[in-house]
Amino acid sequence: MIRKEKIEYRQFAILVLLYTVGTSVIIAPSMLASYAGQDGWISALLGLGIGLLVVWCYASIGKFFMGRSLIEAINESFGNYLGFVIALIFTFFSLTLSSLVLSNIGNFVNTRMLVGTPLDAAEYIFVIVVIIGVRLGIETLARSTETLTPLFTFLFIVFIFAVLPQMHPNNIRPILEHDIHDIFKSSYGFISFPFGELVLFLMLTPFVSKNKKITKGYVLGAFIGGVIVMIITVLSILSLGGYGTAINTYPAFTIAKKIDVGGVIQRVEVIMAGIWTFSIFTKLSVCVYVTALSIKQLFRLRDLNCLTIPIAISLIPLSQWGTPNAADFQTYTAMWMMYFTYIIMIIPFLTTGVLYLKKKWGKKQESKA
Amino acid sequence: MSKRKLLLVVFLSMVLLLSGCWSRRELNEIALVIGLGVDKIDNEYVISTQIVDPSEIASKGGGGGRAPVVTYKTKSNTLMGAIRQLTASTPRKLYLAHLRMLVLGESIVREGVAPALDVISRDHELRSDFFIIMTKGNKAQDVLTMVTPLEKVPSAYMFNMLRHSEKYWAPFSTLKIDQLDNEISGDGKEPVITAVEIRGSLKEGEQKKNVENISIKNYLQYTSVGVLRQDKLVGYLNETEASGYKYLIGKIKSTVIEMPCNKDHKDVTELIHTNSIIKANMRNHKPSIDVQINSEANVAELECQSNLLNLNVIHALEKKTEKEIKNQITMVLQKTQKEYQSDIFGFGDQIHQTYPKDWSKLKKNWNKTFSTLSVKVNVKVKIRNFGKVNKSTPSMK
Repeated sequence: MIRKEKIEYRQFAILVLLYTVGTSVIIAPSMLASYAGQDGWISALLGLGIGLLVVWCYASIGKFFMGRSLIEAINESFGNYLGFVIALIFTFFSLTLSSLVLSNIGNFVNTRMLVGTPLDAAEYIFVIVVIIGVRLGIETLARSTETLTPLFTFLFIVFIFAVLPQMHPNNIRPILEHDIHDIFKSSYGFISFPFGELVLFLMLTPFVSKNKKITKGYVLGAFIGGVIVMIITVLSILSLGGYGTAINTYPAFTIAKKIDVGGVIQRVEVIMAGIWTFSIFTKLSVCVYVTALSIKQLFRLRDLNCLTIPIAISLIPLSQWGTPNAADFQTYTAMWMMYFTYIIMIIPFLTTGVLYLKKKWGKKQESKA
Repeated sequence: MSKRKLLLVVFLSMVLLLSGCWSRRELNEIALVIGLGVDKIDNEYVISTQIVDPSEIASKGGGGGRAPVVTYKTKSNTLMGAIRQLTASTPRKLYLAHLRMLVLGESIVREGVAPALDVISRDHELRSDFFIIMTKGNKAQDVLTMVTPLEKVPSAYMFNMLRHSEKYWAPFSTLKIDQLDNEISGDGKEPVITAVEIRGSLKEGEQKKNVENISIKNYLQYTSVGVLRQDKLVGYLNETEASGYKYLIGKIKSTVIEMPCNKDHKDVTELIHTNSIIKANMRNHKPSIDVQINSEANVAELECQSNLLNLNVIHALEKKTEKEIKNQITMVLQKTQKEYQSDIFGFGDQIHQTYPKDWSKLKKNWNKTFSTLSVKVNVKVKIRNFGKVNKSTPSMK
């Protein structure tokens, strides 16, 4: 028997954290400011609150599954046929998400850093590293992110202090100029992305060594990650203004580009981009791992590693096919992905409901007999 | 480690390192553009690019006697087109990341500068740390062909000149692309751009001989500030008015103020700290602005006889300085409100920030409202020090 992989709740929390920061750190500020302008941070706060509630529900559901992954739970509650369909939809979601994350980092690198490099080349480099990571297993992945965390934290703190001189407090005024409808409109997106997408971690909860600690790891990771994204949003609004944040494709990179400490420390944006390279690597690895795991459990395969390379390589054409251009990504793709996420977010709740009813019903049958 | 694994590691690290070289350009293959000028002549953009000749800059004790920079001119309907067209006349590909000065010709600012700015905020190669100036009377291409003393690279000359002038002399200020973008697209503050002029003759200034004499006859100078409405030039502020503008927005770092003490002499104070607080008020949906300016000053120069140990003298100096500052502010307010109708002070932003609801109605007609806006200015100056001596140098009279 193969030894089952285990991760500590702390490693789980770090995975959740980096996953939450993931791609949202480069896109979320612009998304939040798109409707709410300089009130984007209020949307972020709202989204964070509701998002944490969602994550807390996920965590409780994960605990309720008692060592089963989401797909195993779906199979058990909906039976072989309906369960298969629902699990297939979930797997498809996971694959779509992976391809979007990849196209995100690909486009980012391609528009802001390596402009002459073909998109394929930039994406292949990322994908190769992810394949290596995923093949080594979730335990290794968790540990490696744990070792990256100090560097991540250090860079993030340096980033905050380095951009402080460009802040203009007046940019955030007038507070609450936009009506509540616009503010909510901006936060819908923030609830689904990144918090709704954390549904993928329900596939990983069985690996957490202590079932009790799932809630703590899940919520803590999402909370810190959400706060980091919010801080970046506030920094972008303060330095670029509401309008500037909304029109910039990657506001966080734009403010990193403006870093100039005493004329000595400047042009360091690529180092700062290391922050999101880590987090996006983690997010993509988790996505690919979960996709592979889902397919494995869906088709009852014995080995996971035989799936990683085909999945990862297929992501490259998928990502370019799914988001043919940058405008498409910001409008159309972002929209349907949000709805898709909301639909997927319902699945764990449904599964839990059915499981619960089955349990109750089963008990009644037992007592009758 | 097995041989296969080692090979894999080598291969992967090669992929990682080489991918960065995809579109590499070595220093000897690129042309560092340090100044960029944009003119509009006969409905066509004329782009002038000042390119550094690195071998001339680096060489100690005389290079080949060539000019340290070269300025190319190209005509095209679009900016990007003109920049790319330059490859047909330069041996190297232009590299824009080290741009120091963007010089906008008066013609293009008069016509509307926004279309020209798009490529500058869109292109990935350009950073946002260069300064933007405009020309007054001349063309941008002429400004970029002047030979300058002290600095071999004329764009660096203008860059440093503007930076220091902002620090120690009131009227002029630096402007970066993101600020200009924000001011053009926003509706609460209109942009101003520092304007440069050629003093002397262009014909002589273009030649290397210009810097061979001790007295420089043909040179570049910042003389005024262009006032824009949206992205179009509406007029200029002279030095005094431009100083008034800087006092009002509280961006003065340090400057000097002259005031007459008798018929032919003047006293001078040096401002060391200045800040301004702009407050918007709304009474019966009618906006008004209160400005409080606080300043600290030193005594810098006394031409009249006075004893500084006498407190009344200090008080009188404070009052006079206040009056002078207020005077300059009134002048600039008068000109921008009545003549240009352009809210360069950001009063609109202030109203927007304090009264967002009223602003949504006001902003449509803001330029009209601005021209009749009542602005109350209060100036407070405190004199701290009077330098090394406490009396003015005695005159023989």
